[in-house]
Amino acid sequence: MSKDFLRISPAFEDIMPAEYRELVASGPYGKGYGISDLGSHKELLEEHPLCAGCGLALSLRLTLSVLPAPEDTVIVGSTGCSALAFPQVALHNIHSLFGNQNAVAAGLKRALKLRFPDKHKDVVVVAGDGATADIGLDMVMQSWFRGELITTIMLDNEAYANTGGQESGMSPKGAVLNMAPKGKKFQKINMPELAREAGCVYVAAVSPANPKRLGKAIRRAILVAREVGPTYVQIFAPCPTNFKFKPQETIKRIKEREKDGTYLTREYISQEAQEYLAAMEGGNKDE
Amino acid sequence: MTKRKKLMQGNEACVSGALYAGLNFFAGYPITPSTEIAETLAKRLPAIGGNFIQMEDEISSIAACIGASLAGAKAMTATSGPGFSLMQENIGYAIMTEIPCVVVNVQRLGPSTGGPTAPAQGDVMQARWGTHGDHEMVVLTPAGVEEVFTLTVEAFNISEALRTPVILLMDEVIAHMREGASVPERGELLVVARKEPKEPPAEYLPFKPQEDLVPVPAALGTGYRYHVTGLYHDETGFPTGNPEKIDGLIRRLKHKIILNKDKFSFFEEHLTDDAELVLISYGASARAARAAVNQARAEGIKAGLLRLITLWPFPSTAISRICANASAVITAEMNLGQIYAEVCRVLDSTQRSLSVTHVDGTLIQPQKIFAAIKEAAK
Repeated sequence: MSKDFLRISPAFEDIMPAEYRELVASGPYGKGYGISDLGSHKELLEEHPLCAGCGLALSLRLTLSVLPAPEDTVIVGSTGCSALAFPQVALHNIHSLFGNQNAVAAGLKRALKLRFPDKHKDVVVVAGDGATADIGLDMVMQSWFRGELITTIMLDNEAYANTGGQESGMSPKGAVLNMAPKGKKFQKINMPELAREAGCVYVAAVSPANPKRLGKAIRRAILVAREVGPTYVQIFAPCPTNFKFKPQETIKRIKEREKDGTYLTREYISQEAQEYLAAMEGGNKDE
Repeated sequence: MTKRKKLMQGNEACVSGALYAGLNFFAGYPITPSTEIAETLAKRLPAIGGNFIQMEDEISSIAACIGASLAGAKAMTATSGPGFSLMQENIGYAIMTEIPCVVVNVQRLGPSTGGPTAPAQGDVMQARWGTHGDHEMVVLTPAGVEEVFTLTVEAFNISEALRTPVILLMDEVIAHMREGASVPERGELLVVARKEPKEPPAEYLPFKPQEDLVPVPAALGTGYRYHVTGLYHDETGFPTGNPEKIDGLIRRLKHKIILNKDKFSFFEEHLTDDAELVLISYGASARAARAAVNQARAEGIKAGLLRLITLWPFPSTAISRICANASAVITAEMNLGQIYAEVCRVLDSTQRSLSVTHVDGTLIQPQKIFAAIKEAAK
């Protein structure tokens, strides 16, 4: 992939900010970097205002580090904690209205296809659990029913964190939060199963506790969405601020939840997606 | 006996006022700066046997309130600009089907996601005209924590009496501010109960207006069976295509509010008797305007303040009466002149009408309004 369009015009080189020059010189555009390359290059997200120990921030960093083609990727986000980080990300990003992200992404993807019929333009939705499973559920599911060629990534911190910690459909049953003082009364929504039933050809539930696995799932989801069908990745990203645990214990928390069976890593690949991936991943050294 | 004042937040006062008025159902969705209303009710409502539900978005929140109100509950939801936009279709439905409910909109800086924690009064026209079609709206706007309490009670009373949704339009400052507020004792404020039909079900017409133009639709489940629809309907509740009946309904829905508006046209005057310069303001802006008026008086400028409490129906009569002898009228608000334009419509065309606008996401300061007063007094 050419990164010619990123090159700074020689006349402007001295006035471009150092950060930008560094990004062009050693950013991930056109390089096909993976998780193991972290630390060797300028990342797309280096500073952000999210809380210390935020599982969402870590997941976002990992996600951005494995995009198959960052130079040809548009992220569609929504309101929530992730919307605080996206202004710092060196990618196209649309902060759409709360819950509308999959509808915006569908229109965007179709228009990109009209304008660039021979190119892959990856449209990746990155939104929180409230935006995906509550207020935006209808638009998320309708985009899957219609088979839109987009990737939906949910950063699941199991609460409305940005408004100060209220329950979401993804909060575990019994979780005590600000609008659930006696504990949430219904089960965590089984979004991976819903995604599968609604037509997603690739579905994964991962966490930053296993970065390689997370990276593989994101990459697969984006590749499959180029040609086969809609894909969904759910990233478990616990929130130390609202669930009141120590910032350094985020990964420990994930492992505990894995152990007691309330968080499960899983992957579903449809037959068609499997064949597509086999062809794509044949010569990929990163896998 | 002197009354004890309690330190309260505006949003908390709204909750206490709603419970005083008999609220027993709340459905909502988290949104700054209104979230404390839902959070507080999540604790307090179940404790008194009411029902609290967090919904998946604002459309479903108001829809759940409409359902609950149809069963006779006193229902409320609370939100801010983006959520208020989502509620508009259902607000129209509640107007058309004459279902009482209270919608609290704690304004933040818009449009769009705007500034979630930034004070603004930009939803004044949206509160009036946000839903489609010809209709009247009742919109009340408090300027202090104690008033949040009493106006919440009023909002329920008007909603029940006129069978129409009522908007309590707060701003971020009033909602998040804490100040001393005396809480009325039980019985001190009037609480209007839902009317029940007197005739037996066989003779009952759910949408037949009474003398005050308001019908008495029975609570569902009480033995009175009827149809509820947002389509044009006749007195039975069933849809109609009869032009005469359509015309009759749209006019009655408007006139029932106009006919009764003097009962809830609230405003407050401060030093207006001899005022040569009249300030018009409301909500948090009115607090700054009051300080500016006092400063002007200290410097010998005859200024006065007319604080609007009922924004809609627009208090035209009060404004033209109070401003009749003013050499200039200054409207100060945290938007780009939404009420100013209405004031101009009401004033004598020869009268000077000035506008102080403020939309930078901060609270309007008295100095800014005082500067406008000084300029006008020159």
